[in-house]
Amino acid sequence: MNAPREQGLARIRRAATMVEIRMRLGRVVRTLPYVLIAGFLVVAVTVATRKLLFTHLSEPRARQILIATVVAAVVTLVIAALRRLPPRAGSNALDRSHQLADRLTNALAFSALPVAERTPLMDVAIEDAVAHTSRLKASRAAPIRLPWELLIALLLALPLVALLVLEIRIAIPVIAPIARTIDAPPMSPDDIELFKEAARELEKQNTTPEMKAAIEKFNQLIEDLANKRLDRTEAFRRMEELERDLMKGAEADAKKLEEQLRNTGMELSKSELAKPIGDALQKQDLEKAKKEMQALAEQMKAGKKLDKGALDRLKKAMEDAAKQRKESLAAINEKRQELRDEILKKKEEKKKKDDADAGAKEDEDEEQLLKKKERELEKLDREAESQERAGRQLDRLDRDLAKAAADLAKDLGLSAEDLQKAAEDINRMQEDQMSDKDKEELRKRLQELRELLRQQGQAGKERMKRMMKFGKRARGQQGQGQGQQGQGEGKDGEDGEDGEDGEPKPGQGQGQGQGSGVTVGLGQGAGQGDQPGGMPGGQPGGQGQNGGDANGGPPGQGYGTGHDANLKGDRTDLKGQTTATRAEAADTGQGPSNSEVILAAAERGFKGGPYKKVYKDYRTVAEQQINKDEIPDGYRFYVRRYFQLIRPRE
Amino acid sequence: MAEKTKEAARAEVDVFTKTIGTLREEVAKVIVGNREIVDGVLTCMLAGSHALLEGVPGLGKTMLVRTLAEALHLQFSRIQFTPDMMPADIIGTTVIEETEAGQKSFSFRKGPIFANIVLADEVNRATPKTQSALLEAMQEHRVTVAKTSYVLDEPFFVLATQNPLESEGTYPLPEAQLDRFFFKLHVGFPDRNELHSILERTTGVAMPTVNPVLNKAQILQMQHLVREVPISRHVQDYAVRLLQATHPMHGDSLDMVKRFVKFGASPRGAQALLLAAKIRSLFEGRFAASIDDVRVVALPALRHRVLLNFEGEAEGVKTDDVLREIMKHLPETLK
Repeated sequence: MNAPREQGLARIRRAATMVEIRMRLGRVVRTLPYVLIAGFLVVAVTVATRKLLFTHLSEPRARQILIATVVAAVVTLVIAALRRLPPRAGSNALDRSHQLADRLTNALAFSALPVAERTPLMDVAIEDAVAHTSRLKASRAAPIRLPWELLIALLLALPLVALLVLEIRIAIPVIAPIARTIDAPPMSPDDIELFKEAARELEKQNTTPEMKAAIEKFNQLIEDLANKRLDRTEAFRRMEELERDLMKGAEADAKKLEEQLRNTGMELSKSELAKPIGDALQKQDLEKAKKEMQALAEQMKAGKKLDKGALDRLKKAMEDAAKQRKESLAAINEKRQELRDEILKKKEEKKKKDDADAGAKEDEDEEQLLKKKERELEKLDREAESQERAGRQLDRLDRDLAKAAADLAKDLGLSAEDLQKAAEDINRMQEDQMSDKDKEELRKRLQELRELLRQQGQAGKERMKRMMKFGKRARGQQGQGQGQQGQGEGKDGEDGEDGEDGEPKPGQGQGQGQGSGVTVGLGQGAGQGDQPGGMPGGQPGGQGQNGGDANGGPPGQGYGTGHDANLKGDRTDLKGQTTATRAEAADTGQGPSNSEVILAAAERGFKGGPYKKVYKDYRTVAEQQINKDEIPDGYRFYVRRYFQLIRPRE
Repeated sequence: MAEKTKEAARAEVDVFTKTIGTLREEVAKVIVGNREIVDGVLTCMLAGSHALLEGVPGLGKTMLVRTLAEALHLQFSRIQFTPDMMPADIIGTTVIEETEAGQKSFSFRKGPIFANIVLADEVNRATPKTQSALLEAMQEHRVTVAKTSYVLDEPFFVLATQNPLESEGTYPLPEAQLDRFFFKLHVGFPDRNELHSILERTTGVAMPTVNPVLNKAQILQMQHLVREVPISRHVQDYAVRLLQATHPMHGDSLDMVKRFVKFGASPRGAQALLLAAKIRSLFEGRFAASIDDVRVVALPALRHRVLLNFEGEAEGVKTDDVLREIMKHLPETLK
């Protein structure tokens, strides 16, 4: 009985489901153009970028974008299809499209109710709906029409296809392998200049090929650092290499050498003939010693009559001088040997004791004593070694002095030749000593450079930035100050001269000075008084307009009594024979005070004549202090660097 | 048993539809056109409620009601409301009666309200006190005089008319009283053909006569059948959403509603919507109400229940416009 009704309801449901499917499909079709347009645009941009700007978009990345676009498009369409429909949307659409006045929707709603709850009219309504199911068409309820936007999407597809087909030939530039970036240690131009200047100074003083080569290497190092051709490691390696080279030639212990020369000088001073030589050697004045030696040789060669006693003393002095170092070294060696023997003995005793009894307190004392001896021996070893090194340099001098002493008894001429050779030895030693000093100087520069690189490595870019900023200011490229150094105005000159026949009273004067140099302009005022007995108030004198070198007069002692002969009429009447005179101030070069110059330099840059002068004065004093006082090397460097930084810039 | 009931229900609906068709034909003998008004009045009657007819004088409002009363074979009374009318003039009054034996007693003289169809002509001309007496009877279907309640005979159906043009000396019905009317029907001006027909029918010698079609019992049975018409959830939901959309405070209400409406329709409006939709489905010979039915009855059922604000009144906005706009935008099913 109910079968037709159920069949009818099933038809309604199927038709409603079909309509809903078509509705979802319709949504997809409506969404499709927008998805296609968006997708085509993304694909077009991606393909164009890949073809034209291929360096900006790699192929894998382009593939990823295309895949993502397709996925996004599919997801959008799926969402459009699966989005929830209103309840009974299908049957509703059927009712509307077939003008069934909600018969189908009502029937489905009533049929969903339990049978017991259905009223007869509901059943009748269901049957009524079933009776209208024969002509249901899903396509009528949910027509699928292609949207006009789809045409736009298809039109867009054409250029996209053209773009895909288009082959753009672009020569792929061969990308050179990227060179490893050198992390060059930062150095400001001022520092570079400082070291270059130091190298130039050393170059001026030296002529030895060895030193020249070292300076050249140093210059190259600075040049490479300035051009950022070295990284930190390489810079330090080069500095170490150069320092090692410099150390090779500095084997002699300079101090020891000086000491021994002083001893030789002391021995020679015992003879009145060799006293100037000895004194010069004691003062380490090798130049003078050489000259004195040559003078003595000339004296002897010339066959001047020399006191025999004096010659004997000279001979003895030269023999002693030749011997004293050997004796001294022999004494040290003897002492070393004694100590060595003693240490050996102690060690043997200790070994025996250790075998017999271990851990006694006395052993500790002996152990300490032994160590003390060993340290003493080491010290003597070092001293002996140092003396031997110095001795190697003095060997020739010793030999010549010994030979001169020996020849002195036989032939004065021969002895004079020996002395001449000794003088040459001193000359050679002097040259060596000078070279050593320069090497030491260069070594110090290297140490300073190392210290500078180390410090700048710690602060890095910030420090360099500050240095550059400072450099700019030093060159006067910052700030609005104008070079107005050397201009000043003096306003002194308030002193008047004594008045004539007047009561002693300070006269009044006024003066003004103007000049390009900062000077004190002083005017002269002539007190005047035309009344016998003296009228009070000597008038001020003329205006001093000479700024540059005008000097004010001393204060007047009283008011004046006379008057200017050119003045006529009343005292207050200035209509006299006055002449307008213009006086230009002369630049005396004295300029402003040091503090003014320094202040101006801080504001406007380190330039100008006055600054040069002040800088020179200060630097001279600083150099003197550096050379004279015991200032640690590190601090010397800072002082030098400071002066390098504030040097005049032009 | 169920099958039989189903057939009976189908038969009842068929009878209902045919009877209404016959009734329409009878009314149409006298009343030219105005099909919507006739259906509206019938709808109110079948819903057991009352109608308010608004239209300019001379459009046949009174004639329509009189014709309907004749066709329904019901007791009819007409009350012409005037400002000096008292409640007793409508309800009735207690008078002293003297018997032949000379004995005097109070007796209640029923007023014109004691009828099946009451035509309250120009109801807005009576004072509020008198209007209240009528409206109380409309709501309660009973009147109380001197502590005695008198139940009005069923079916009780009031058809009130009012003239929208004349406002002087009138007492517009307050909103609470308007709400008691099931429908508010606008009687429109007849077109040219209708005017010809009216003139032909009313200026000749022969006057059309109307035969009674329905009696009391049939009407009550039809009222009962209306209540039995099922309504599915989606139709009811549409009615509810339509009602909510008339409220400016509602979240989904239109900008127009928010701008021009002061208060939306009351729940009584939703009841009217559904009942009227059911009646309309029966008029059409269907067994369940549809969304279209709700839409059709929405204007007469809600137009007097939506209160415009000052701006709406000033702009000359009609509640019909607001309701049409709401229905235009209201989706049939909730998304």
